[in-house]
Amino acid sequence: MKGQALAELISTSGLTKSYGDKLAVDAVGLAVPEGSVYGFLGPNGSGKTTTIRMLLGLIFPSAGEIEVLGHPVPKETTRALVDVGAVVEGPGLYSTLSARRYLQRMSRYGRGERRRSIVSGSQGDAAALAPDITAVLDMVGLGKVGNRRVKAYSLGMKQRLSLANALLYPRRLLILDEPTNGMDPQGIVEMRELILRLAAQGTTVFVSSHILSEIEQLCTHVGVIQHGRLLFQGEMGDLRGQLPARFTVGTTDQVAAGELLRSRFGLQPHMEESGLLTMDRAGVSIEEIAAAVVGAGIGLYRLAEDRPTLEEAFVALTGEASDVS
Amino acid sequence: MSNAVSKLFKSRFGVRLAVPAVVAVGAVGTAFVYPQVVSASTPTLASETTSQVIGSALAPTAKIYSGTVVETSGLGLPSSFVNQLTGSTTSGLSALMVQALTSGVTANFWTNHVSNLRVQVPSSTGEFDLYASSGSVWEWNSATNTATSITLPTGTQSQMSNTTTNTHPPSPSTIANSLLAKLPSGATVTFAAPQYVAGQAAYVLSLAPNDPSSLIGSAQVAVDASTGNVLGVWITPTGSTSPAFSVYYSAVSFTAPSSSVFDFTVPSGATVKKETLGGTSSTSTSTTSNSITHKTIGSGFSAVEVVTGLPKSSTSGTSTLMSSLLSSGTQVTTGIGSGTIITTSVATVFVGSNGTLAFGAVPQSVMMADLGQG
Amino acid sequence: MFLEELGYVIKRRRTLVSFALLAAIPIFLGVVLDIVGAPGGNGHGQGPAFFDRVTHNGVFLGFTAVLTAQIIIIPLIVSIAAGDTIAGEATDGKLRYLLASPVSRTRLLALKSLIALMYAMAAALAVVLVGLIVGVVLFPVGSVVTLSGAQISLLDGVGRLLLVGILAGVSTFSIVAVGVFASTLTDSTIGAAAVTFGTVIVLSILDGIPQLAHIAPLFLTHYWQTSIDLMRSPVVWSGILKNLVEQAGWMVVFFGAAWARFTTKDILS
Repeated sequence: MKGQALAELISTSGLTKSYGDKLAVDAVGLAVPEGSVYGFLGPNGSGKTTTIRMLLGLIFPSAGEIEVLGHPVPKETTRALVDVGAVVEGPGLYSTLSARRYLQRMSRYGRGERRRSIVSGSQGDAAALAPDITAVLDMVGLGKVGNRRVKAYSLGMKQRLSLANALLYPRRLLILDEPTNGMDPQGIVEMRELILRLAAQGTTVFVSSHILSEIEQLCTHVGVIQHGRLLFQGEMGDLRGQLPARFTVGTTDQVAAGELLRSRFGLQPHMEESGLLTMDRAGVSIEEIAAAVVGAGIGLYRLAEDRPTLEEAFVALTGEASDVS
Repeated sequence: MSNAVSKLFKSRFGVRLAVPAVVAVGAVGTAFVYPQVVSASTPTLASETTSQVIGSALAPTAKIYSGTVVETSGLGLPSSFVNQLTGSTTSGLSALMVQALTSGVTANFWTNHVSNLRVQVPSSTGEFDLYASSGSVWEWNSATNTATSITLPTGTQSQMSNTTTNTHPPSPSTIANSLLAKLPSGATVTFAAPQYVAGQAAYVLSLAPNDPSSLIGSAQVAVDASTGNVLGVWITPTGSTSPAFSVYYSAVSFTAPSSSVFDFTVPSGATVKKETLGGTSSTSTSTTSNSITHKTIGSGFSAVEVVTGLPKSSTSGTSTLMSSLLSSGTQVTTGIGSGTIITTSVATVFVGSNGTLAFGAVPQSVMMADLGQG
Repeated sequence: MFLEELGYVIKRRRTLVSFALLAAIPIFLGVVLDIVGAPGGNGHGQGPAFFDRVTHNGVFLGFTAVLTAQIIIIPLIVSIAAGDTIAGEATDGKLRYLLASPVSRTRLLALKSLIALMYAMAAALAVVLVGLIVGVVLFPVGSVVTLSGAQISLLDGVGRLLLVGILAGVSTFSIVAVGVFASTLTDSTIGAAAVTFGTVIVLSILDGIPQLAHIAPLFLTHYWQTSIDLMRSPVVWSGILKNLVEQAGWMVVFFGAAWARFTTKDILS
């Protein structure tokens, strides 16, 4: 894929949207690196969709700057979006058209701007003016029902068709707003695999969700938004790193072991209801703990170092669970 | 509210809306205000005396070949009469006359000033036409798909074709000439502000009758500054500020029209009728021809014209039009016999049952006094 | 994109139903006149313009049909088409995907407006052409008599009929502009169409009120009837030109307002 190398395919600064006195998005500064799978996390109503609509030029910011693929939005929205595929807050389909006809219509709509950008040599690929609709339908698993009217589709199938529209042309960036909404578990698994496949091919993916577990295994980068504010942004590992690793220790004499760890390493063991001791890692290695306990003649039957889950990190950040489910 | 407005104007939408808003103001301006400004604007004309302008009006230097004449009428006819008129008439010439009397008529005309005249009265669904050429006059009514051949009484043909081709009813100049004929003693002539009439810069003469008993308060006559043609006449009743009757051009052309506008052949499928103008009167005048007399009582703007010896049928209520007119008037007895008197804002008409007709721009009391003397 | 949109609109069921309705007008008028015959005697001059000429000359069926349809049916169908332009896409969230396809808002609005204008013109011409065909099939045809009583050739008459049709189409361009603007204000096609058609009806009623005669020339309906001036000898152009200026004025103002609105609007649907 052509185009100048960019450090960040999406970057915003001070991005703000207010409705009257209410701030829907409050000074958000996104940085989505090329090649990343960026998870945009936040509870319902946190400002995710408003932010995504601003990225796509559908909503005008009250303040702040947006650049998508190096083009300012909303000033050069169409230019910016030529190589962007998007799924925004559910599908928007023509109920009387078949899936194939829908994709044909959408591809013809996008073709003009695509052709112009190719002529000007900035972006795009001449070979991609006429997309292979059959291949795209197969890619999202609608190959067999492509001639059926959309009217007869389930919500999950509609969501797949919407994704197919986003994938009509080879894209540098995919912006997917809650793409798994309404999908059955099988569909969610397929969606995840598809995203990983596209990412492996070099497509940058910006995916929002309020269900953390869905994108936990997908994302290389993550941004957490709540009440319109970006609470965290960085690599997935950094989000986990927000919380310290913990040791879990099970011995034949928990009281003595606890005393030992406190006095020897300055750790703060805490007796759980299960009878196990837990404590923050605090720079002590697991080998040192094992040597100390065994050296003191206490029987050691369990010793583990646990990394915090994304969910724990998320709860620590936002004060609320990512999703009741 | 003002806060909301200022917000709107600061918003992107507000800024962009300014474009069509400016156009809207511009459009309304050009469609609406501009013509008013132009018609209200005062042309700058060389200063002339009123008698110079009257002189040029009596001898125009160019002929008007075609144009549009607008006639408006708010004569204050008795409402029972108006209702009956508008309710009873169907179409054609009589309907037009009723319309001319009660509200107004706009007509297009073409003439070659030799032998042809065409008058066209368009309506939203059809039109009424008069095609006159030497010796043949056709009336065409598209609503009824009827062509009526009008035969002029023998002997009057040449005279009629002269009058029809040299003027055209209702012509501002005919009316202006009859007004100007009453000068100089009948009225005081001053200049009103010059105006544009039919796009032509025109002097406007204002005639104020000297005789306080005239119903006419003032008459305005617009005279084309470049050609001397009378472009419009506005007659305002005593005690009123707006004209009760006006005739003016809304468009004029000084070039001869294409001869094709005068062509008329009865279209296939049309109903053909024949009518002889003055046919009934010519038979009755043959028995009473020597008894028609005409005299004028008084002078100037309070003159009353009296015609006696008309056929009784023409002044009695035999036609619908006449009977409804008579029923709306007042029964009176005068020095020249009994009859009906009808008063409008600018004229009073007496219709005697013995074939007498009297009319003048005077109130009923003056008319009665004049007739009492007769 | 243009061909895509044109094909999409042509193939819609609504288009089919609308044009069937338009074609029904001359067919209905023609069949009734063929069975019942022309109004005779007192019926002369009654009914729509040229109504009593149709049985003598089928060409007049086109005139009668388009002058009749111009009052209600064509404005109604044009209002619906224009009200649908943007609002129709906004329902079910289609608009955001069209814009993200990507296409610029100005371009999308221009395309939708152009198609709606073509639709309006096609609606008027459909009535004329079906009227002409039905008239030729059911009734004799021959040279045409104008309102002034002049006889013109059949070819000239058909030419003027087509011009009347084109003028009837152009007369609805202001409706398209109002409808497209209304369409940018709401996500409801029905709402936009109702506001547009309501505007036309209210203006045509106000047009008849003498007290408003001073501002009546600004109403988009005011010069609609001037297309009949094409059937005079000579043709009277002044009213027709005023109509063209009127339509152009409404188009500039309301397409401008639609552009101002649509290019600055947050797409929330």
